[in-house]
Amino acid sequence: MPSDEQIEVILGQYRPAPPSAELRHRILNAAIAQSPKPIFRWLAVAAVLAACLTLDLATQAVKQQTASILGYTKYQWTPQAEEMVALIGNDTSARDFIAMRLATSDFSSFSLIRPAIPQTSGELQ
Amino acid sequence: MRQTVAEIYDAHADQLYRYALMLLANHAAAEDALHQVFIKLAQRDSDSPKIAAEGPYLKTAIRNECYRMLQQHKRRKQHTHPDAARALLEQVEPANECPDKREELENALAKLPPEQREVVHLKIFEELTFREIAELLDIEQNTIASRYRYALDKLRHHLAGRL
Repeated sequence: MPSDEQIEVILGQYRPAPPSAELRHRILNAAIAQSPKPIFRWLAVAAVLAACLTLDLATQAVKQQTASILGYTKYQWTPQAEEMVALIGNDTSARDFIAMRLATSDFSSFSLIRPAIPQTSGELQ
Repeated sequence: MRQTVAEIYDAHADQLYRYALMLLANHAAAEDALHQVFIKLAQRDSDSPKIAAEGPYLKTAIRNECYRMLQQHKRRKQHTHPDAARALLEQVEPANECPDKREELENALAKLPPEQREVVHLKIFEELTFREIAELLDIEQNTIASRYRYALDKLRHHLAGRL
């Protein structure tokens, strides 16, 4: 009966057979066909962007409609409101946001932005 | 992408295939396992092949695939049989080729459980130490040594009087 060392020597004379040369071609072709195409990735990004823009436009329209339904009075557009617009960016969206808050807030919350002393009200652009 | 997968194939496929062949003891099954590993690799993000180019990652991937296939065969009560047409082993020095001896060795190896064949492969053919095998397979070093011991015992009994 061969010893462990003899078995190891015999095994050492061999090694597992290599893959066939044809396998490389077959596997690489299949792998390339399965790999995600960059164009599809960009299309996915474009679709998400388009969805975001559509949603943004839709919410703008809703905000404008809500404001027009609820309405707000000129006296609510105080210098403090103007300051808040300046604080949050001083652009159209900031102005819209404050206008929305004015239009949708109840009377008690007006006091938060209304000055204690009556003063001239600003114009909403 | 094509370049990268091809480069990974050229660098690692040979070793991975030999590993799969020793685990599955069947050329067609080893080809399927290698195929699956490269398909999964290609389906991942474009940055992944760079990470996957690391040998241990691919070795774990092919090992997992082989054991998955072995489990599948077990569930279906199928057995992988060594190929009659294609030899599982090749002689390191082909000048001393002795087909009978090789066939005896192949039969003896094919009779071992895959876990023992795996350890024999990593120890003898890849020349790893028990510690390296234990780290690679995430198994206790003593377990690896036991598997190797059992494998050699079985091979010795099978080959007694035949070589």
